[in-house]
Amino acid sequence: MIWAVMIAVGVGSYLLRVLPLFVGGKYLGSPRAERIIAQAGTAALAALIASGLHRSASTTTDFAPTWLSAAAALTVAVRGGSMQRVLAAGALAYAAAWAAMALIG
Amino acid sequence: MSTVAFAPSTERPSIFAGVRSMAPMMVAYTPYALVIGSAVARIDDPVAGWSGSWLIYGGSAHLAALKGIGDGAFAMAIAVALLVNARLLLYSASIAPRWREQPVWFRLLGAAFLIDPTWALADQHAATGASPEAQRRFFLGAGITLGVWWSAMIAAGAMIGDRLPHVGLELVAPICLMSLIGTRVRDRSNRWAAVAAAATALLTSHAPAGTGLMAAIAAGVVAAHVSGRWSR
Repeated sequence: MIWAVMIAVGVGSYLLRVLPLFVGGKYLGSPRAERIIAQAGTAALAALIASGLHRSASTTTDFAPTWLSAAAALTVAVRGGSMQRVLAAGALAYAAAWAAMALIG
Repeated sequence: MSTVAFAPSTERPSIFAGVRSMAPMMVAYTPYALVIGSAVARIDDPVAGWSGSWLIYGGSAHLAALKGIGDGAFAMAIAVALLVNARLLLYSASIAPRWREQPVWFRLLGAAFLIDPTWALADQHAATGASPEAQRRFFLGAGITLGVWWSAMIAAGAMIGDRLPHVGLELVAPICLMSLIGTRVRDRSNRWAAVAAAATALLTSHAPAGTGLMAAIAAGVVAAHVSGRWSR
C-alpha cells in the first residue's frame, strides 16, 4: 500500500508539473494570465518563506534570532545580493542575536 | 537584476553554472531532507518511503504522504500530498512561456525536476536573456544536482533515523528562498502579493496541510490585483 501511495502522489505531482507545459499555452499565453501566474509564484515563495520562518521561530529562545536573521537577509536580498551574501547576512544576524541574548541573560 | 551569479552565456558552462547556483540550496535543504529521512525510517517499508524522494520530489508533500501512511489513512495521504503540491501547477504555468521553444523531451524530463528552488533559479536565469539551449543546460545541471543530493540526504536521514539531533538549521531554507524572491518584491504588485501571502501563511499556520498555502497564494494574487487598481 505504501508503494501505491507513493506512485499515486508521484504520478499526480508529475501531471501537475507537466500539463501546463503542453496544454496551457492557449489559456496561459495572454499577458494578463502571465502576470497573475508570476504574482502567484511570488506569493507561493513568500508563503513558504513565512511558514519556514514560523517553524524555525517556534521556541521562545529561537524567536528573536530567527526574525532578526530574516530581516537582515531580506534587506540584502531586496538590494540584489547573491544567495551567498543573503545567507551570510542571515547567519551573522543570527549569531549576533544569540551572542546578545547570552550577554543579557 | 539577477541575485545569483551566473556564468557567462557560453553554452557548455551553463551546466556548471546550474550546478554552482544550486550548491547553496543543497546545503539549505540538507536538514529538511534528513528530517524526511527520519520519517521514512519510521514506516514499514522504508524503500517505498524513500522512493518518494524521486517520485514526489517535494519535501512538504512527501512528509504529508508519510504522515498519512503512518496514520493508516492512505487515501487522505494521497489527497493531502497532492494539495500540498498544487503550487507546482503555478510553477509549471509560469515557466511554460520560457520553455515554449524547448524540445518535447526536455519539457517531459524537466517537468520532473520542477520544484521551488529549481523553478526560481530557472526563472531568474531565463530573465538574463540566456538562449533556450543555455537555459536547458542550466536547468538540467541545477535540477539533477538537487535531485541526486536530495535523494541521497533522505537516504542518509533514513539510516540515521531517530538518532538525528535537533541541529537548528531549519532557518537556512527560507533564507535561501528569500534570495530568490528579493528582487521580485521591488515591483509594487509583487510586493503586495508577497506581503499578503506571508501574512496569510502565518495566520493559517495551523490549517490542515496544504490549505494554508493555497489560501496564502490566493490572498497574494488578490492583493496584487487590488494594488494594481489603486496605482492606476
